[in-house]
Amino acid sequence: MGSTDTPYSRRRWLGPEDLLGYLLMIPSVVWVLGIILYPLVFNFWVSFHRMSMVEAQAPYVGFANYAAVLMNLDFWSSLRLTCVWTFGSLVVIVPTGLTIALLLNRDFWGAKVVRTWILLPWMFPVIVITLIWRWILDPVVGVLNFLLVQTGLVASPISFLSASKAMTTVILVNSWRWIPFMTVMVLAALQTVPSEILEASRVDGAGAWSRFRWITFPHISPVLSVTTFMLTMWLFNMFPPVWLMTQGGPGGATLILPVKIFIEGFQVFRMSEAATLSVILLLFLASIMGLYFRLSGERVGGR
Amino acid sequence: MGRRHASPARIALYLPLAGVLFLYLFPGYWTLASSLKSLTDLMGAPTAFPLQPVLENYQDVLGGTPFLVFMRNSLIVAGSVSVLTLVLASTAAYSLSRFRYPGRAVFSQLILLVYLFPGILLIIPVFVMMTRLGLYNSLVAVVITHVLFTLPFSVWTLKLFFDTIPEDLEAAARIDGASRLSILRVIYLPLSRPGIAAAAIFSFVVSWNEYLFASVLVADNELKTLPVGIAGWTSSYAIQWGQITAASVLTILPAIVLFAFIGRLFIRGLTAGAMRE
Repeated sequence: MGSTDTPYSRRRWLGPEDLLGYLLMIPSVVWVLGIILYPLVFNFWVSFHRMSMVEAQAPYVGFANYAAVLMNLDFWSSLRLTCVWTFGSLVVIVPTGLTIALLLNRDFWGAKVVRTWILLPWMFPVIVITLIWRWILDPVVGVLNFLLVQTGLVASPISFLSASKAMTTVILVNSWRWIPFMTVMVLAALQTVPSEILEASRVDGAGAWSRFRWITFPHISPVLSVTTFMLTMWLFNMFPPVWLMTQGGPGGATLILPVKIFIEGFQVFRMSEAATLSVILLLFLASIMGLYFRLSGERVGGR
Repeated sequence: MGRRHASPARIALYLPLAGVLFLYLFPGYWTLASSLKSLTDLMGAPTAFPLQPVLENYQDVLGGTPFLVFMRNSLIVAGSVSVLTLVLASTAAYSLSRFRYPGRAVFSQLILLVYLFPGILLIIPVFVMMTRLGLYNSLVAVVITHVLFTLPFSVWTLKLFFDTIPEDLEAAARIDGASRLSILRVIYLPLSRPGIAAAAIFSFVVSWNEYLFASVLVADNELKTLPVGIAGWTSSYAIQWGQITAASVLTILPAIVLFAFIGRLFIRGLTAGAMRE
């Protein structure tokens, strides 16, 4: 239902009514602006000043912070890891979520229950998911390594959080949490696919793939692209899963930018570096957003 | 039901389905089973289920750790966040749904924009701001920031419900001389009960789970929320898996119970945003 086309507009509320409308809205808007706009301006300001502690003097330093950050190889390594993390996660979450949604959309005993409860893992605290998987994956007492060794699939236990495997492990554990989100979104879109058309094309002899490609996919692709876009934004800036699983380690193997910002700000207390990294991250965010609206805008334009 | 023999099509459906269910049920089962195992069971070769189920892990967590203090803090924070969110969201949703004024569209876009703003970009300025306001190391600071993340979903869910209420109802009440605010209280809120439940429970769960802000804005152990408190156990000493799994079970229990009540409704609210694009 569109939000602007209710028949209500024919009625004219006069001045006091408008005022009441604003009054009801203002608290939420102030809340949001206070905790979003102020921080953005603050980050921007600090990124041009030398600030090491909350109370200290902060002299203006121009672009010195940006120069320092961009000249440091650590930044480029973190940026690379952030991209690996984001796109690695997308590659796992989107196709798997889509496949599971198509599976759950079929008729089977208990389908209704499964379609709802599949979202439950997404409602769990990240720390709990992290701990559960660390327990399952533990090299010494974990059940997965026990089974792998017992069945002879591997000779010795795998250290899933070692420098070479940590990124893959964290991506997979975090994907376990986000796949249900993708699945639920796609399932909702699948409800809009008209079953008569699917049935008619089946009668006409269309195979499963061509039915998906030409009927199902066009119906779900708007939701798929919105959800993928939101996921990209969230993944690019996601902090808790990586921090709680590896703290960015071992040896910087999972030191993505959000974790780096946290360490700069709250462990070594270099506020300027943290703020500068935040502004740079925000620029990436804005460009992803811009790119998305450009691409989707062109598509919507043809509608 | 019809034929019962295993056709290839049935196998192609049920085999992957079993795989998915296993992938999502096993971690939960394993956590529950581990929480009921004794220390010797936990350290030996894993068994599929506790050989002699014990409750000592739960006793240790509840009696030997500040778990109940963390839980009290989480309840205070998540409860306050729910109430505050409902007050702010219901008035905002009413305003967006039934008032016409310039700038309304901008407001609704602004509220949605929050979805896209990750906590990590806000954490340092919010920390500085709360310190300057003298709110650092208080649960108030945590509540204020959590509301930011619960507001957008709640406003949109309630607006969805308010939009469906016939305007004639409101018109009739106005002829009887009711004020707009009493109309919100007497007509809109009672008729939107499922939406209110969904928004309240969503807010509760988001706040209950949140880690980043709760960990940065609070220093005292006595003020830590559950996720922050439990996260501390894994770094401070040798990991006690029995206690960790027991604490995990106790932490996710509220989410499971609440999900049983609003699961389907919650999914409707969650997907509505993406579906209208």
